[in-house]
Amino acid sequence: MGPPAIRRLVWHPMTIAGCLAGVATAAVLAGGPGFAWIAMGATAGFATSGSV
Amino acid sequence: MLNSPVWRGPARYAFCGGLLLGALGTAFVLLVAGSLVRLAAPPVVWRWALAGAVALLALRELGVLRFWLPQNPRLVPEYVHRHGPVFGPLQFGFEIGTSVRTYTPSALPHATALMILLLADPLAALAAGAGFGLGRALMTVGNLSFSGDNSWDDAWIAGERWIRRILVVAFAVATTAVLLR
Repeated sequence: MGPPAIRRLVWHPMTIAGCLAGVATAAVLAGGPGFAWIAMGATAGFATSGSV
Repeated sequence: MLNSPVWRGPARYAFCGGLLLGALGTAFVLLVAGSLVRLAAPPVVWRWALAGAVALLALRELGVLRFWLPQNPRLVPEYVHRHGPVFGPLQFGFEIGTSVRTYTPSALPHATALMILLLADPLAALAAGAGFGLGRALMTVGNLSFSGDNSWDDAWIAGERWIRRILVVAFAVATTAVLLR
């Protein structure tokens, strides 16, 4: 997907973490508890990176 | 490990599917167990206990506190080559997705488990389990999409301090929203 530099920027772990934070905030603002649970789980799941 | 050719093609999807199924399985077990545990105290007590526990776990995640957490201190053996290009990764993913078969280098899964155990209704447990599986799958997708030389792990290690801070903030935002409802 795209040139290597852009691809590495898009899929950088910091970018993914930032996106998860954005999704969590959006979930709270949107007021949907289901989305907050998904964001919570996704954040915890991604935090385990490095264990595999 | 993810640099291996076995993770290309359908193997990666099978692995991610296994992660999702494993996480959903653990969420279901926690939900069932929680239906019994919650009988011991009124909901308001559990909410306050959760707030305190999640705060402690977040401080541990940030490195402020250090204390032991239960985990299975071993690596999941790879069955990829034994069970073929689909069922091997699927089983491997399932075992990793359950989060009870290997190391857990983060306290946030423990916090999520407590939230499901003590607070979640069936739909919330489903959402949290699916989210957890997707979060773990993001690592796989990110690693394979980032580069072909496994340097994603190096990027993670290089930025781990800030990545963990961002994730704790995101987790805290989501958890606070759930606890305040």
